[in-house]
Amino acid sequence: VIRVAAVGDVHLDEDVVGRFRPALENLPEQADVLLLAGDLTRHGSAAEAECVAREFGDLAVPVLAVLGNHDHHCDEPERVVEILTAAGITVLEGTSTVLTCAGGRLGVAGVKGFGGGFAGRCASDFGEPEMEAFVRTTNESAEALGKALRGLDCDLLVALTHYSPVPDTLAGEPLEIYPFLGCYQLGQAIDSAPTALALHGHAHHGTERGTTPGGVRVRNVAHPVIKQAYSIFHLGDHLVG
Amino acid sequence: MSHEYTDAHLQRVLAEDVRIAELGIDVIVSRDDTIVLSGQVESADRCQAIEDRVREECPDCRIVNEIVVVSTDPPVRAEELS
Repeated sequence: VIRVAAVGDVHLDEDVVGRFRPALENLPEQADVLLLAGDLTRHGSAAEAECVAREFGDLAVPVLAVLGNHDHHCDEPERVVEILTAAGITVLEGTSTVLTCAGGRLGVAGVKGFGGGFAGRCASDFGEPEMEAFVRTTNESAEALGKALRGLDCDLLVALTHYSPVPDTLAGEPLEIYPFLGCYQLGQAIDSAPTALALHGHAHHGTERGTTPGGVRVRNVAHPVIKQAYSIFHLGDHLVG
Repeated sequence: MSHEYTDAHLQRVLAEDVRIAELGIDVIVSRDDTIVLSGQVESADRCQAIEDRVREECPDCRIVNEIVVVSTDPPVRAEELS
């Protein structure tokens, strides 16, 4: 069995440092890896990234993350990535990594993702340049995720995004804002590979559980949704260990 | 300004004011000028800062603050996904 811990939308700043740490102390006994599903900071400033580094760095398990929309607000995501990387946190953006766990080789591919909406109710790459740019961002992000997922050689595959790949886990959010919370293209990318689990954040008023059209389990791990320091998933009981 | 515009204005202030930057707060303005705030945040300071910011915008309204701080307790059990 491979044990995956995950949380998103922790929105760190000085006032939050230390809140997660007590629960993280026992993490190595409970999980093989911790995945952070974006919105690690409030505004994406270097000072806030340092807070994330203090809170989630130096754990006894590997920590992998994607950034969220909040982490882009200061227009210096490269600086945020640099600080997290220096703290030993691997930031995925159209990239992937394979971890050797006691239960097998876990592959994780991640992107921030973007909005756009869901099948039949989505934006199109048509019209004004602003709208075309919006949808192209969505398409490029999903293509990068699909490519990263399909390129992995591992025993168990997990997709990590900030935006949602399905509408199921948005239940509780106003329907009118679904196009700002996720897009079907991420789901399509997840379904293009033998993905075992897809994790996302972003939808604070959403619900925990969903499934892609291809049958992949989706979990919204936004902190206000899970209402605990992190969730733990046990996967791959067909694997040795 | 109609209540609908006040809702929209306050919600945007809470999202766009860099001192707040909260996109998940529900704001309901009732006919008697009571503003009900709800949602979840990461600290008690943020909960108070939101209330103070709304008071700054609408000094004559009564504010009911139902915002809560999200728990950071460790999980009780794992979800088995075989």
